[in-house]
Amino acid sequence: MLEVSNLEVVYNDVVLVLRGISLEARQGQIVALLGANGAGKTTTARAITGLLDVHEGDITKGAIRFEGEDITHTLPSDRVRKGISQVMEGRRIFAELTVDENLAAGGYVNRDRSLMHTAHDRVMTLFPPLAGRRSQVAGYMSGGEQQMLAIGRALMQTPKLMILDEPSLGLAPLLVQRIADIIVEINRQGTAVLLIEQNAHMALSIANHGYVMENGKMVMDGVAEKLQADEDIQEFYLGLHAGQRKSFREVKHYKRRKRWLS
Amino acid sequence: MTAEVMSGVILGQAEHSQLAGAVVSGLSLGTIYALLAMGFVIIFKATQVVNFAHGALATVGAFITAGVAVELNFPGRFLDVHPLFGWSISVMTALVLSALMGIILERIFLRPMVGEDLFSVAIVTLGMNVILMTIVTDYIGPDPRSMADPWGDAVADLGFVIIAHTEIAQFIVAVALVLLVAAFFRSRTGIAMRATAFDQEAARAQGIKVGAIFAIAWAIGAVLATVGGIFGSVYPRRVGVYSDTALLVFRAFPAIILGGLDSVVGAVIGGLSVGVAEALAGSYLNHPWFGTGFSGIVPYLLMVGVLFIRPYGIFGTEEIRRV
Repeated sequence: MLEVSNLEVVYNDVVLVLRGISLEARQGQIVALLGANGAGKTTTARAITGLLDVHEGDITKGAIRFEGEDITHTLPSDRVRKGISQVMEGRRIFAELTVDENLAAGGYVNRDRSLMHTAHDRVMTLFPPLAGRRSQVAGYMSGGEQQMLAIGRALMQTPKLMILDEPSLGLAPLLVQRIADIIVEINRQGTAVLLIEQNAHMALSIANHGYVMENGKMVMDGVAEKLQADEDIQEFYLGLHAGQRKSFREVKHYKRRKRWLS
Repeated sequence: MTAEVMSGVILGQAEHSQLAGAVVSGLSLGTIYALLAMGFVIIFKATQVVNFAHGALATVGAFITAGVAVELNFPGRFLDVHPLFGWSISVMTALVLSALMGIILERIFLRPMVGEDLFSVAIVTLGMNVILMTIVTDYIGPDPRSMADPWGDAVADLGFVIIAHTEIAQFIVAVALVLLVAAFFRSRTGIAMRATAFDQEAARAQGIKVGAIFAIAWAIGAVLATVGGIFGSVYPRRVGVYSDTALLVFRAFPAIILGGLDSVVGAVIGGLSVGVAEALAGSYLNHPWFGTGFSGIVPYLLMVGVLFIRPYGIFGTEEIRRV
């Protein structure tokens, strides 16, 4: 469905942020993209949705294909229309607008009224807390509700692929679980999900496939269960220790493994 | 002017309340300020451009109206209709042309400046103002252009106050425009504009074409400026478009700042209060001690006074900064 191949992104013409990454999101799947701060996860999301130019970023190499079509240099609005929606990092809801107006802004590309109604009803059933606050100004809601609104806003575009950038950021553990359940439900209803997360535990618990990024490169990828079982992932992303101290020479062996493809 | 009206004016003089007269003329002046301020605020809010060429937009818009109504004599040369209806068509045509002018100016001068800081962009609008004013002054020359409005200097005597027909028309048009703008901000495009004003990047992520929103904001700004310019160029103001019609906007600036620079409601209320304050001062503060033209500085005094109490204007968004 979404294929990113050998993507290279440069900020301000000098800072090389993505050094030829490749990833794939398949129909009906949840794909997790993991990595520490500054690994290039958000840049990957921006490249896919076409929002690099605001940050003076440029795609210098590689291609992004969606449903077989090359979208590497198309307008963000075209990509939304084609079915790629993004839930931005830090929620970025329109705080001065009401809940309903936020959803209307989300459904901007959707000119079909009946489709808008269906999308709106779907958001209201998925997020009961929003249903009671439809005319409330969004900025006064709690963090969890704002995250729900941000996801609901993206759902108004009836996306085929939803990119979520750090949806668990700054939320209490109970809410993180709730957001995870919602992501699973959205995926079950037929939307592919690319989940960008630092919370690897949550991401891998719901994902089918996972990618790990470091310093602008893909260092590892595999089926979610396999990644969960991987020792390095356990140590560096899941915070699990085998117990005994380790020599630094042994850690992160995958970084030294030469990878020819991707 | 007919004899009845003349005598009405003279005979009724004693019964007319000075206060009501000042308030009516203040409100009429205020609606002009409000229209100009509203356009300015919409452009500022939606596109983050402090538009110093707003006065030029008003002047050029009024000049276009005069051109369409008098020089081109459109639609009068094609059809013989009631003057009010004919003039409305002229104005509509001029408004469409003004909207186009706004869109073109934005595309040429301001689109390349997207992402630059507020001051650089403001300087660009100053340059734009110089260009527009040079061109329009050259065309207008020493003789003002008549608006050819159907009301002329006719007045209605309501008993306690005399009101010009143009002022009645102006109130109706201004109220209609305020309601239209309010309705616009509840529409699909209007919501998209508010979303863009709040967070451009997030708006783009929703598939909103920010460039199109900028164009629409400039079209609306130019149309509102033109309507303000038209009513600023008919009786009982200075009749006709002069090259200094643009100065009207400088007097509307206190209204804009008073209202809070980024609030449309503030622009309307600021405009009306500045207009009324100016007219009241003109009517009552005529003691020789004040000298002549004291009313002209009242808007600025009001502005300074309000800013002392509320530094962000009456309806402005407070900027919260961590120290």
